[in-house]
Amino acid sequence: MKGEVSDETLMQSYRDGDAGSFEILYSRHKGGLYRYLQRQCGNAAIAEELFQDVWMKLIAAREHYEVRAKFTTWLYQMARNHFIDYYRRQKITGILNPVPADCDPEEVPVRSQEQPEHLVEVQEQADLLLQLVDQLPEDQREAFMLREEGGFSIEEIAAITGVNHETAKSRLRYAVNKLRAGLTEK
Amino acid sequence: MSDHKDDQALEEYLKSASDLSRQYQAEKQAEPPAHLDAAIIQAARSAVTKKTAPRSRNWYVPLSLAAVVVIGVSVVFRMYEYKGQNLLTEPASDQLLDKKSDRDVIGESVRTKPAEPPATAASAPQTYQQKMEKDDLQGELMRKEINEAPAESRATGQSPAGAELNIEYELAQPEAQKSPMVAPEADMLLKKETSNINKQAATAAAESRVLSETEWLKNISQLWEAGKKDEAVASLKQFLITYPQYSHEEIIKQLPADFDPSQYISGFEIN
Repeated sequence: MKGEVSDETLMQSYRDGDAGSFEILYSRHKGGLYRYLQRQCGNAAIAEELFQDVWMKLIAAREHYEVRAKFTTWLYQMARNHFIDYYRRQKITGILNPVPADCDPEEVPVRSQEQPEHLVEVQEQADLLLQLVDQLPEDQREAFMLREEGGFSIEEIAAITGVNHETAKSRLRYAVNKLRAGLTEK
Repeated sequence: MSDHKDDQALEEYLKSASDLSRQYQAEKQAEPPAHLDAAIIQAARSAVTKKTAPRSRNWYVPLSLAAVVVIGVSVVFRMYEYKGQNLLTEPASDQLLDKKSDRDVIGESVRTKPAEPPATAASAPQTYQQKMEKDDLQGELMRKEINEAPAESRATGQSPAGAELNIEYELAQPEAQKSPMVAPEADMLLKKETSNINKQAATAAAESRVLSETEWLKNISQLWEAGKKDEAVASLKQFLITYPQYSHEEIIKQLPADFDPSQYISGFEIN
């Protein structure tokens, strides 16, 4: 059964011309990747654009695909770097940036709840946990999202985010503690 | 003490059944919109149907065929040329120069071509064609012809005798003073074509193996530093497709300082 086939094998099959394998891969990871991007930038429209770009990149790269790492590590690494490059580009080219400034992963580490768009979004979601996740500092939120959406271990989170094991572990630990504390308080 | 407690909390969380994980997994609902799913899956299908054969094989075949045709035509052309098909149409001086060229390449006795005979000697062309069939005796017959040719023709270099004299003269001339030649031009063309084909084949072989990221970026840097900017940019574009997980910032760090990809590749802007 194809559903039991590993991601790497599916990607290889797609590389060799089996479009059905791509559909399985896509259905497995579309939700997690989409939510990861959405949480990272906080804007659905931008998240959709980035999400589509990432999958298009994957499609373009299929001919050269070789199993060098876990497929999901590769996918999320691609998404993360695309996300960072995207925001850098917006800033440089001076294109009207519809995303709140706090979306920049390196500029402002903590989301401001005073952003009206953000408040509306949070209220619409009416979800305390997600609100708390949104309030996490960028690097901690990223570690948490990678863990929850990608199912990555600390080592894998470290590899994707380009930091050492201890840093990744520390970020995740802080994120978990803050979320727990926030849930207990409210 | 606090760190130990935190570590315990983390360990607990990392066990997938933690409360926090369960709560998050229950909450998450956001999915990409259906139109996006359709667009991406359609793109994935199109990419596969557009390209059924592996990339390298797709263009090896036409390239090989083109190479065979080019080389084949060149060889046939030269065979006819040396069979004496165009003896009467070529200027004597070209023939003489060609003779030297042939001598350089494959030896005088094999492909030496006589010059156009004097207009007064009506039977001369036939004589030359017969000579062409007797390669071993050709030198001797040429010398004999020199002696039999009219004196004035020898002086102007329009006769076979003149041809021989001109060979001697031409050999003494510097390269730059030599007149344009038909056969050497063909030689050059053939060499150039062969060189191009070899170059393309080498490029194909190089592209067919996937280099490691570092090796590849090093090659790009070397191309850039060697002044081959177009090749460097083309190679970088290919790199971006092959290694999409690489961030632009990481790439920039490994390129020469004066190489700014954003000037050549759209969407490469970076701080």
